Amino acid sequence: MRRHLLFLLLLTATLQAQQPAFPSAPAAQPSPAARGYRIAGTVIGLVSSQPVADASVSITATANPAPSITMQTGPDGRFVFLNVSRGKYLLIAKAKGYSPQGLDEHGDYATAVAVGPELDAEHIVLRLRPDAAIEGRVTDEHNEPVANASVQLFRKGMYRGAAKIVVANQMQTDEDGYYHIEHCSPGTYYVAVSARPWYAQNYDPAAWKGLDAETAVRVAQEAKARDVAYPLTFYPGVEDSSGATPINLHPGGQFTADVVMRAVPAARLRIHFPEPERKEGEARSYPMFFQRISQRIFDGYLDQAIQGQGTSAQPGVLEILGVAPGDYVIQMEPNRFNEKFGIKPGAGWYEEINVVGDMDLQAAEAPRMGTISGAVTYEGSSAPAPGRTFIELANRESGERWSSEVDDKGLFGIKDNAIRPGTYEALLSGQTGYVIRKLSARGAKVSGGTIVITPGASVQVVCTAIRATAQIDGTVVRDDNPVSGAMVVLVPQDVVEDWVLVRRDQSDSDGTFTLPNVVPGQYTVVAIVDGWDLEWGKPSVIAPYRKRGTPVQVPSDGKLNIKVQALSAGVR
Amino acid sequence: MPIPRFFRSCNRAFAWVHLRLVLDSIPHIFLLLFLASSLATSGQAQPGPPSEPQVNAEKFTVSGSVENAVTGEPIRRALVMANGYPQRSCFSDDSGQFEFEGVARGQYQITAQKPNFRSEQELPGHVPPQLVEITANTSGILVKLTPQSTIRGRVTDAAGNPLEHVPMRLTALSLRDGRKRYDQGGFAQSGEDGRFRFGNLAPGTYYVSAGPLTPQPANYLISSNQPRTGYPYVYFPAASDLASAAPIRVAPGQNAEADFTLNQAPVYNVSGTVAGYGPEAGVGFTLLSASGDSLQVPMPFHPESGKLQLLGLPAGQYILKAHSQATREVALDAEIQISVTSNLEGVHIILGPAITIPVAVRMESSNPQSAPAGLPDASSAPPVQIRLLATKQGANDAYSALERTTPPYSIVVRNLEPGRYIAEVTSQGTWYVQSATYQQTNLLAEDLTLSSTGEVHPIEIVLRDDGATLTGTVNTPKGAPASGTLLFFSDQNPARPPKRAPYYPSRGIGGTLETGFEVNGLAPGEYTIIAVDQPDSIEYINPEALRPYLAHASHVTLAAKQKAKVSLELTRTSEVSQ
Repeated sequence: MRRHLLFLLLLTATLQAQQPAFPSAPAAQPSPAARGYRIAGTVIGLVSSQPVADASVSITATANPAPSITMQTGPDGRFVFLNVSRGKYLLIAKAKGYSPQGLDEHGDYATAVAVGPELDAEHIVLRLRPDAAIEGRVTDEHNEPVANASVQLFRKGMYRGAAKIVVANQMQTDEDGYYHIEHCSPGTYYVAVSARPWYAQNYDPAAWKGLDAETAVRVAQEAKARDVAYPLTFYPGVEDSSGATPINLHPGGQFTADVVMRAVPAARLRIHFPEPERKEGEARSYPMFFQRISQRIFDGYLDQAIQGQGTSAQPGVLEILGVAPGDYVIQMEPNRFNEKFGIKPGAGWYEEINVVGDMDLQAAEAPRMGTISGAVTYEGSSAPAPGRTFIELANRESGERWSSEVDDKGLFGIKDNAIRPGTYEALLSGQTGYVIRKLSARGAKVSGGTIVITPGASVQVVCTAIRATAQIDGTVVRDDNPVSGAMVVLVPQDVVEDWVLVRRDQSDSDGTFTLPNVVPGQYTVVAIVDGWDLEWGKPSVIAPYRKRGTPVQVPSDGKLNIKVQALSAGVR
Repeated sequence: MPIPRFFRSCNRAFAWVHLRLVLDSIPHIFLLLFLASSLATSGQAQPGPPSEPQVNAEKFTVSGSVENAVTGEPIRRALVMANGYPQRSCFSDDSGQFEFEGVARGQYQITAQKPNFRSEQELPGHVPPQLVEITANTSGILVKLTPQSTIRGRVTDAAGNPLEHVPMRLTALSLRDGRKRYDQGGFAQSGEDGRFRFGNLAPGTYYVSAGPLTPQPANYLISSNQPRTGYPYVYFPAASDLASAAPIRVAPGQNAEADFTLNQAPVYNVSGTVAGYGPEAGVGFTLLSASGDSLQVPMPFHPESGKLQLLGLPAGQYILKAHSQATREVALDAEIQISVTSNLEGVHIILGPAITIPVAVRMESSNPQSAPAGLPDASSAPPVQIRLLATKQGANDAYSALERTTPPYSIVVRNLEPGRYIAEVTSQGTWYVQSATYQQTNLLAEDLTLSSTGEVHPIEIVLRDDGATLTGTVNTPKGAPASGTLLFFSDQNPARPPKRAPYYPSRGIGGTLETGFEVNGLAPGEYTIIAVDQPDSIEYINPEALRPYLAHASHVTLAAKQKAKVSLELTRTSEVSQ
């Protein structure tokens, strides 16, 4: 059962907060005929194996958007919900030291509790993984605390069936250099720290004039000692993310990750702009750009390093000061004040640079950004449901995303934010019953749902969305017995190219699952037990499971009901 | 000889203020006379150009140490600056020692910086940095840094269990414009173990408050009709308002503790409607405790329908403020009192333009020849500024502004909230404020009270240019700062903001340090005058608090156009026992 935990929590909080005297809630109040079902069980700590008292346990019916019912466990960790009507319920518990968790929760999915005749919902054991914490101290090379350092916590998780490292949390060190991040779910983490030395000041050789040679040398030496920067530093003290040491946070565990920052001479980037044409008598003015300077870490993720407006050192030159040596992606987006300079949207540019020292960049020679505009058409005669629709272009590698609202004529345009060249997936959001299956473009190469934007490209694209309204219901079985808590995947012909067709679920307590919004076609449904670490999004990994999965031919608007054999992780 | 930057900048600012006024209103012959006298009183020698080359200049070694002002321990890795021309910098070593080699002859300000420490300039009182005259190798310069202070504590419930996510507020007591002000000093949240911490604090007096917090519901059915419970906001240690809260006095380097025990109490929801804002404009809301501290509770607002909710309020008195913008200049606001004893519906809050008061200035010149320059339709704006200092905690001060920056000038005080204000009317140059009235209210003697419903009238100000001039010297004991502030308290209008004038050091014959001043444009009347080093550390609006500072006061009676001379004793505010 897909869980949408955050949404549910918010819904619960909102409903409860806004409506203290909630009108008799029909879905939560069982009809007299259905009285008699109960959801009962025990909340147990995963590490301690002891009952968790005073845990807050809630059930929420999955069929109707009904308010949750919440109760607290007794000293024995037990909970009982009486008079529950037939249906499926998400069961979520939280307690001191335990973040909210669903039953057998894995990523976005949990096992829903099925309630009805001949179903046992009264012997549930909800194992809560205790929160972990990570803390540490950031110091400089002189063993002095680094205050207000930005500590980024990266977590290795499964995204689209593949391991990926993404930002999980961010916080600042206190004035003694300490940071403490609570409520971490167990897993593999990395710590990265960025900061500016407190004593740093960018050296301006022109600041003092008329000094004798000896004094000039002294002043320059002293100024250079302060014109320093800290490179982005990964625990335990490396500048390259590939050398970062993974931190395995066990349930309830606490890890100390101290990081030492080492100041290095800072570089200054000077960006030269060509002077725009100007009318006679018009004052000299130069276009303004919004700069974004990022570092590529962990297989391509773009981590923002510097952002904001550059300082203009002299007409036509922007200076970016205090840059630590390293590899950067520098990206300049023209702002709206540029129209008077005749600068068209799309005049933004980017450059991948390796900074080893002061650098001059020529804006005119840098690769241009691209722009994209286009239309969304819906295959078939049926119009999409009313509501706001967005086109999102997502760079799978860097994590960059651009989105544009689709107007009521089906048109969209991403002009003002010029797009960095690269390979993007076009995704439709706001329309759950449709997916983009086909792109045709002028000014860019397309393949399936992806589009390749080249430097300076001005792309016009037509996105064809097709209906995805079929549904597969099923049961995961082993020897004809239902299997709960199995990972269910709807695997299309090509798991990478046809990613938009993939659907996921987790079987509920009666072994049933639902895969909604399916595009008609040929698929294989696989159910894997304890396969949470499987990188099933990789064709070679999913192949052996697929061989033993259940092939399905999904007709348009069809509803299928199938049985799927549970496979154990480790199948070859 | 290069001139130290401190001297230069002060002198420049001093001259600039006068120059601007003088140029605007006085014939040029006066200007020259004034400039000459200004230079003479300050005794400042003509500074040499700052970029004067130092070729072949003699060089010296300057050394000293940085130490903790509280413990006397050396401070390592402090950034030590010698501010002269040029600026020099170095770091103190492991024993707190620093050394500059090759320092040219001249005057330098020696300062130090280090995270978690404050220099004397950064402490309340803002003592100017020490000036060192380098004419030979100099050692033993001592720079003291004051360690930061912290307030920390733990929030628990009645059973002693730690409470997480409790919003914590720090309120700092400060003196500003001669009165006590309670400033928002920071926000924090208690952690999983109930602990919170406010770090990097200057020594001073603080108040800490906790809550309100409405935890996620537990142990009840949503359909039940019981009021929910939460934790009301509490000022340390267990007070319901600022007035009865215990101040936490933090000494330099001290770690003060402030533990809270919060008791559950019912919480209620308030709902209502907001009106009077434009369709495109956003509306901001601030919920204040009765003591004027802003509280963080969920306040969902739907601009389309105007429906507003305040969620999880403990019983009590609140002030809800709404702000919006009608145009760029015109602010909209509203303020209502809410008394919460149960769930409350039907609260109405209607935004309206904030109060704007026009200011009418009449300039009376004693000299008919100078009339063209002095009349309001002349080519300069009236040389007067008004500050309305709010007396209520949480209310904003307001300032006069030029509405039209070209003739005919008009002055307004915008965006005032209803309330009581102390008016501070400052004139410039030779003009003095003869009277400032709002209807029957004499603003030089009484507070201005504005109601939300009352009609708005102009503030009427009369300026005159036949003021008295007072010159004199301030006798400064050895080791005391050579510059400071003169405060002129009007004996007719006690407990009002005094006129302020700076005084500066000058180099007398033989290099001794003297201080002199010339203050013109003084309204005729009787004055009590004191010379102080730190005027902002005196609660001068309060006659009781002011009295101890008056031991060395001089009393003068000034008539129109009178020129008088007076010799004053410096009152060091830190030495006055209260």
